[in-house]
Amino acid sequence: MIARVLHILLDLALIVALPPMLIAVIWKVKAWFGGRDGPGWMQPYRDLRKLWNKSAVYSRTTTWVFRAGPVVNLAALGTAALLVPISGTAAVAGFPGDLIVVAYLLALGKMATVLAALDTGSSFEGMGAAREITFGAMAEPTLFVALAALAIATGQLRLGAMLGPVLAAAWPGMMPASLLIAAALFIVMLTECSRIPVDDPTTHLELTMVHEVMVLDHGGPELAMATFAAALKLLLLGSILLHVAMPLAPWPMKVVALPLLAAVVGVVESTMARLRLYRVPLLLGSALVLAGLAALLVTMGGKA
Amino acid sequence: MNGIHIGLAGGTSFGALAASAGGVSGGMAVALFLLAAAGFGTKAGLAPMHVWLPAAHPVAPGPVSALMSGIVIKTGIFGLLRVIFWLPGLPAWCGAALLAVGAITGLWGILQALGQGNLKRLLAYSSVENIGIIALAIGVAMIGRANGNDLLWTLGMAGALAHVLNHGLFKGLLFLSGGAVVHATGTGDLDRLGGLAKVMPHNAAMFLAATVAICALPPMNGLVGEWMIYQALFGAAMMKNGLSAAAAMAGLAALALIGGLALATFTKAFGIPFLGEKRDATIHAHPIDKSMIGGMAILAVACLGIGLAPAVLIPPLMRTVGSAAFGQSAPGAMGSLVWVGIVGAAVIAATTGLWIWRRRVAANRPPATTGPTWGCGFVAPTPRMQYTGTGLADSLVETFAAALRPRRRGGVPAELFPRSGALAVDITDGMLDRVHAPAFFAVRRAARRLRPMARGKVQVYLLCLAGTLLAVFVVEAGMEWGEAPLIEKTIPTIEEGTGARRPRDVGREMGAASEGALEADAGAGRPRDVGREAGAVGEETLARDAEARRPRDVEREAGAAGEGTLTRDGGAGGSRHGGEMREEGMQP
Repeated sequence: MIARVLHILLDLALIVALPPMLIAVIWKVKAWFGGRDGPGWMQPYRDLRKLWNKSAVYSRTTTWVFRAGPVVNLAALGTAALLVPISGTAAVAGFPGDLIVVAYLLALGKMATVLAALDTGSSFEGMGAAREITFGAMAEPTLFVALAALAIATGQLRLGAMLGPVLAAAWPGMMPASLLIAAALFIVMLTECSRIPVDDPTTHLELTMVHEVMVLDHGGPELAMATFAAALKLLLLGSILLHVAMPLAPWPMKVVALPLLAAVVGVVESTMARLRLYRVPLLLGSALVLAGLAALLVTMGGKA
Repeated sequence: MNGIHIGLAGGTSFGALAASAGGVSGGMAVALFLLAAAGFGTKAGLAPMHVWLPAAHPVAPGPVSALMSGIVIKTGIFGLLRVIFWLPGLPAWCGAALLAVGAITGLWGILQALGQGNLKRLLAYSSVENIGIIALAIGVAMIGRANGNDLLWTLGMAGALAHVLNHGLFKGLLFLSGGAVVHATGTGDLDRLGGLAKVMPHNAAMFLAATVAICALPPMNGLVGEWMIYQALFGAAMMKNGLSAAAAMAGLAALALIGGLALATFTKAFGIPFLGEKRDATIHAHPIDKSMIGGMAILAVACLGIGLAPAVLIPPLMRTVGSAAFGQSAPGAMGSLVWVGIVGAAVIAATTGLWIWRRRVAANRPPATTGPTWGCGFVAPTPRMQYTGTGLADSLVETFAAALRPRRRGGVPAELFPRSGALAVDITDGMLDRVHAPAFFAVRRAARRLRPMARGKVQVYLLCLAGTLLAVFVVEAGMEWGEAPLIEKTIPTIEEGTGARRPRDVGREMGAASEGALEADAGAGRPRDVGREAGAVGEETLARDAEARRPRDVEREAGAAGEGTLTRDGGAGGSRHGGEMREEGMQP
């Protein structure tokens, strides 16, 4: 019981404190590949504080939808964070079928961001919105098929139970399927979190951006919320991925693995170029095939 | 289909039909189901029979469209459900087939919706999509029933029924709100609208609420039904039974893709007309009447209410679904539905909390300033530079070009100093051109072969009549030698009174049923009906005979309805598909 309470407290602390650290890790790795020192470890935190202390500049075109966008986005992701197991195998809260709700909470955040972008009337932000909804729509089936494969393997529909001891017990027979699911989830994570090869978060050309161009007109606290929410999404999808990829590891290792996963993202960003926009659906199609294969494996394998 | 079934039942009342259906054998049950799926599916708008729907619904005024999409097409679903409830012995592949048709309908509907440039046509196609989701859910439920899986039947059927109700609410809201846009601006052309949230903020809020609901996002009601449907699909996938698992897995992927595409479609449907700047200076929108908002607010509150307290749906759903042979383990499985509402409330609480915090912070800072939208240094932006609805959807349309076959007119200007350029992307429903037109032309070619018979010779016609009659007698005689008689042949000694009374009864039941689709199917309702019927049987054996005449009527009606939809489609789609003209044009 006490262990459970401690895990909940640790999860809450990680949700609040860890996301900017993941961004810092990615920056550091990219700087190392580029032969630079890069910004300090605390830079993302300092950026957030700076933004939070600013006052806002709003476009005259915008309405309340623009101001509500980052707020709803962060609220949706924060709620989803309570349903995703991070440090332990049980999330802060959970119920059978919560994985569906988590997926749709992520979608709610996406809709809020996209509508805020459209509210500015900017052609660049419209462009970012168009790309976001395209990639989002294509990533959705992969996420669900991957989750279904896990559900078949574990017989559970609660994220906490699905990613918990049952998965660890099934690991010997399930390893190939698990790795396929992890690969599919990795592609989904890169897409949903707007990283290379789908989106380049550090590009300076608005024409090539996806997420960054959607928040182009946000400033001050709104931008702080949008930035934090993007990092939080990385934490959530990364946690699910790690639970699938290393179910046997004790929980402290899974927490340590989160920054390591961010480092892998950094390596991908340093060694790959962004895909042409019209190639991205093909990448997401391959992810769907991977997840489908995993589902086939667990169905045929009869492991439970 | 009704003819056969009524023939079997010997009566047109639901009670008589239900009582007789239990004895229907396997092959006959499947045949009845397939015919019902085709007939009621056309009414509901299942692909490929959906083509009449997007042509018919948008031309009505907003409130009428709301009723048509919200309630009228659901009568098709209701009819299909009735038949499925009567035929418990249907094999699993029937469910898988319905699931597949539902998935195709859903994907086709939402892809077409995504490509539409007209707000009301977009909404009509989205109704096709939602009918697809409902059919998909019914398919899973049937798979569950065929496999004796109680939970699957309950979740799938309850999800389908909940979605019927929810879709009625949020689609009604969308059509009312979208109709108000058309009313205020005089156009439903998305690419000409923009910035309406500033002119009609309340209407924008209503449309946004329905947008969140139809995309199945918390905290609105759309998620409630889809959550149950997803649960059922996951459950079917977990059965590890080849056909069912494969169907469920495909259904899951399809439903998830539909969800993603719905998000894209409705960010377009809300974002383009309501947000940004006005795209066409010649459109002067006037604010809409308060009373219109009042009507919408009722629906919006209902949508939010069901989203936050989905447990209110459990008792009526359980009464309906549990009245079949299944439904014992249901309440437990539905229990976590409460949590969906709790999550919705949590999102609202978190949003409110953040909003208040944000305002507190802002109060201590210099006031927010305003300026123009950042144009990346460009100093003379015009509203015409905004992304249009066509542009917003274009990358998805391009991704699914194989299904949508967009036709592009115009393109990038080629000269060095271009004066102007224009690009239009036309998307027409390919099912009309690729499924219906070839089928109709094939029928016409076949009919042409028969033309030599139509020489105006009465003798030939009489010969045909006599031949047909003879064939009917032979077939019937063969059946009597075989098993039970298909058609009851008591000579109708008609009491005019009872004969006249019956159709009205049926009509009344139909009316009541479509009003309360959830209630009418309930076990609580059924026994009463049966009882009344049973009581009536004694005095009405004669009346029942009278009904030997009914099938013909019903069939005639059904036939007329079918014709009507075809003609209507040809007429309404005329602007694009030019019914008669195109037919001549495509003549080989």
